[in-house]
Amino acid sequence: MSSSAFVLLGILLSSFATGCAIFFLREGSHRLRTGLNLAGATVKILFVVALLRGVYQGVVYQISFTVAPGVTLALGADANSVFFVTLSSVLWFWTTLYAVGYLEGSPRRSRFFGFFSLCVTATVGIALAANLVTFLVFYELLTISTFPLVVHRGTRKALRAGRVYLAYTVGGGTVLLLAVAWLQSIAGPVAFTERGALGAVVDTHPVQLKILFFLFVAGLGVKSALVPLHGWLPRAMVAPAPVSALLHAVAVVKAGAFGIVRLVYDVYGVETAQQLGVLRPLAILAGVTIVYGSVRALVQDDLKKRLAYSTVSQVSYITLGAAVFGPLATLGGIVHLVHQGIMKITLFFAAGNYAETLGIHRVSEMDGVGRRMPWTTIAFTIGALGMIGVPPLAGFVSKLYIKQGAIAAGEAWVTLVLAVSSLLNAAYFLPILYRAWFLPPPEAWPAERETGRFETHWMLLLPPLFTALMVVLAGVFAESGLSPLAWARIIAGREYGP
Amino acid sequence: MTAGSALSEALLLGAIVLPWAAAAALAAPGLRSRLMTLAPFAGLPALAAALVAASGTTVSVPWLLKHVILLLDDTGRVFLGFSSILYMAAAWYARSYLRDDPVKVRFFVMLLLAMAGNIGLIVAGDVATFFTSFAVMGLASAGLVSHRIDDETRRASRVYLSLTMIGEVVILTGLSFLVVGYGTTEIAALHRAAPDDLAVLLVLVGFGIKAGALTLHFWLPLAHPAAPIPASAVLSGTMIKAGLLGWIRFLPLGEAAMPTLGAVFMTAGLAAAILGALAGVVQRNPKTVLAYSSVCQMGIIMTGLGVGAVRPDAWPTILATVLVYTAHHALAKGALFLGIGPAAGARTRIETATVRIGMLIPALALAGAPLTSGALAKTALKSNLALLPEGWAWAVGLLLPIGAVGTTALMIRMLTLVWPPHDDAEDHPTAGLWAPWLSLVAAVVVGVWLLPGSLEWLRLKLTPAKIWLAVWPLLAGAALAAAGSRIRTRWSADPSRWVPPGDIGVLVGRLVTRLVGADRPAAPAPDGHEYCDDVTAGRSRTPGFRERFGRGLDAVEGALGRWPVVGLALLTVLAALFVSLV
Repeated sequence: MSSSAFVLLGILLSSFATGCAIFFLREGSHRLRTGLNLAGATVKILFVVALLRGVYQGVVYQISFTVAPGVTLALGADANSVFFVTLSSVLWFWTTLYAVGYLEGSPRRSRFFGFFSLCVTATVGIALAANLVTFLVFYELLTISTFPLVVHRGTRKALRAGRVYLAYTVGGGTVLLLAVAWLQSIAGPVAFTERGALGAVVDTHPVQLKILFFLFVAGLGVKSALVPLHGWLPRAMVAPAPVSALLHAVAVVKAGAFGIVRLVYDVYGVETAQQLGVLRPLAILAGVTIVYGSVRALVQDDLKKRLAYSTVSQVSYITLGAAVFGPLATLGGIVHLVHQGIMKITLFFAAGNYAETLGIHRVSEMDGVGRRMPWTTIAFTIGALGMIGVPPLAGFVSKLYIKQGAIAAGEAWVTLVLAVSSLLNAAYFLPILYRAWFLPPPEAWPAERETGRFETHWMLLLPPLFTALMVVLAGVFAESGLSPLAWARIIAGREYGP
Repeated sequence: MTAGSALSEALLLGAIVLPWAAAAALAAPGLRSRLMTLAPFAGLPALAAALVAASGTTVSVPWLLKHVILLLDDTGRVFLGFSSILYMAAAWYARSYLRDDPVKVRFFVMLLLAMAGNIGLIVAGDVATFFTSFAVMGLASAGLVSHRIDDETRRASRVYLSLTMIGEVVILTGLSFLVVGYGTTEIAALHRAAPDDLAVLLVLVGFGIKAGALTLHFWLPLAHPAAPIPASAVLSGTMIKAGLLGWIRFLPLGEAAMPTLGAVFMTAGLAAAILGALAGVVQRNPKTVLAYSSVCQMGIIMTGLGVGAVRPDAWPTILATVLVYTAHHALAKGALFLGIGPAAGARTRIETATVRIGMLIPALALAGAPLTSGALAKTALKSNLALLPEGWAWAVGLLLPIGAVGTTALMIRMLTLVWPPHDDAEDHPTAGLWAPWLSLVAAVVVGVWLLPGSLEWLRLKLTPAKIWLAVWPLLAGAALAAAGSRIRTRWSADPSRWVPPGDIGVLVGRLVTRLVGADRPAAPAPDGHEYCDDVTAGRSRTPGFRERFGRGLDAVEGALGRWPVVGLALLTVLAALFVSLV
């Protein structure tokens, strides 16, 4: 096997093999399971580092095998996939650590971690997919592997949320399948290609391509929670905190948004999409989603539900950036893939810590929590301020580029959407921070647990602190060569013609 | 690089780094008490930079933010001087003022962050550094205003925070237009010859909120009484000046003649100078009176900017007069705020006499009495009138003295409210408040005379005719204040009912509340959903607009969970998108 195939398969199998092995572990073998989990996550990161080095040195990674005539499964690593695969494997590591601490002592952990690993396998598969068919396969795999995680608790509410989740994602998947099949019938097998893969078909089938674009958007829009296809997301927050972190920051929602990025840039090509006139409607849809999600978040008292609606809003920044024509907006949208991920995962980690340590689930219970759990609350504060777009944090950078891109593209209305959204974000995040830092704590917390030396278990404390630090660094050093922005700049540079 | 320029650069860098580092170090419990004692010194590099660093000193840090550039120009030097003095005095004062406060660490963190932001925006040479510093200062100052948690403070801090966020969003949008339009983030290189009207409007409004420009000013009389005294001092003394600095940096002043902008500045400024005084003289809290006085004074400064907008050719001269006035107001207003603490607790005869003299000096200065910094600053500002076209010169020349009358009345009102002795003086310990306050009073006495050229103003000033020009507004103001006090005693009315602190903001707020019921908090809904209105939770139980609105949307979303609706939703999206294409 060539070294290129070795690296690509290594990234996939490091979590796949771990997941399969964990299914067969007895419930009690806690150490072995934790060891396997962390080893798998570490090995994946090592493979990703190798991939990064290789791509940087100009190695071309590509493997493919033909399943049936016209149906080829292919993996590869272009700038876009490297970006997403790095994000998901790094955050997977921290989410695993967090999940180990979070689920300590709870039942059915082998099942949980098995599917947890499969879910990440599907996500990196989506990232590395080099053509539409492969993308579709992993996209569906993701649906299947996440369902058990959503219903993990097994309560009636969880089962209902799981049904809704399946209804939406299977529906979306069907539409996507239809779109892929239709597009293949017109254009033949579609491999992701920078600046577009459609070539001559654009001139011969413009109308069908327009229709197809929106079939794709409808299919991908379910996972990326575009209004009104977002209904599953706030319900799915009944899942345990690490699952929410995974759903919102690493896997599902991100996969949808990444799909839209692929669609615009590497299937149609942004210039072609602009010619076809399909970008403006997509931008409007994203704008509506951004404002609607924020308005809904405003009135939620349940902390995780508020965060869920915030995701609805924030993920659409990625779509918005993709839908505004011009390199600056592209840059802002793509970098938000990473920025939204690290900010939202920080918030969910912190929310999980409040629930697990003090029994706090509602915003109205958070008075004075900053004094009891200062470090968790500092992480939460950084995540929340980043979401609002306070400089110099990560969220500010992405919003700024989308805003400047919109101005440069003559779409000044987008700045209004961004301004309104920032204010709404402030309106639902700042009161939480006010409660946490300024109001006096209650006599007793709803359900406080003994935590030992730190304010909570170290496995719960370390992940949010790390991701919060990333939020700060990604913003403060945005212009350095190693930042997410620098990589996004490479991607954006390749998607526009000279 | 010479030793001198190395020193200048080190001071400039230290001016920002030291407050940041001190704020961060407060996270370590072991260092806290020592750090809070040393907090005033965090402003020392900034003051030193203002005094000795060479003009044009530049520090460039390409790997930070979007290429951080720090730059000391003459405008920045003046701002840096009075800001660092005020922050140092405030931190010094806070050590004693908050001695027994259980959450004083939080106050010091916020004060140091506000200092870091404020100094950062003064020496920022690029847009990203400026805006980042501005935003940090805004959020930190909201933390200062929200320090206490009684209902009144919570209402005030809610208004303050909302306006701060709105201001920042508007400013960011305006600056984005400038950056994209001119293709650079360097402030000096934003060559502003062909201004974009929308960007000018956004910059005007956004910084107008911070500067307390009329109609956007109503947060001032709410926030100042709510904040602890040292916070009010820096809020009124330096933070609202950040709005002014934003205008100076980002409006096309001195580049292009903008008659409309000039008219807006002069009209709003004169109106603020007069209406602010009228609203202020009826207030009962000395800090509210001082807040309205700041609205007036910023109005007077705005007339100066108005002249600059009309006469770009004379901008450097005009800017100099604006800077003198700004520095004068910053120090005097800071001294008045800090004096409120000692005034409330003065007991002995010596203390009482000190308070009276110490309050009188900055009050006379603000009123523009002869030989004070105010007289100098007012003369300077008035010299611009000659540059105006006939009609404006007449109008401004007529109305500015009326503003001076108003300021005098405000100062008398403020003095009658704080004039010791008080019956409850025992309850207000004043130890440790005297030294920082009196130092600031001393700065008011000598500060402005240190500016180059100020002695020349003095010579021009000392003719009987000119002295009369400065004195008659004082006398008229005193008469006005006396009349006001007679009204109060004769009709035993409470005139602050006619104009509540926060004036139009309060009225608008009541209207909004009536329309949407925003103040109504949550009751649990039958279906188990709860809504919370975060800040005012727990007062009344009537469903408000937010709750009803939230429930309505919930019903819609509930439907989104059913199978057929999912399919329908998919189809709707498709149809809507396709229709939008055709």
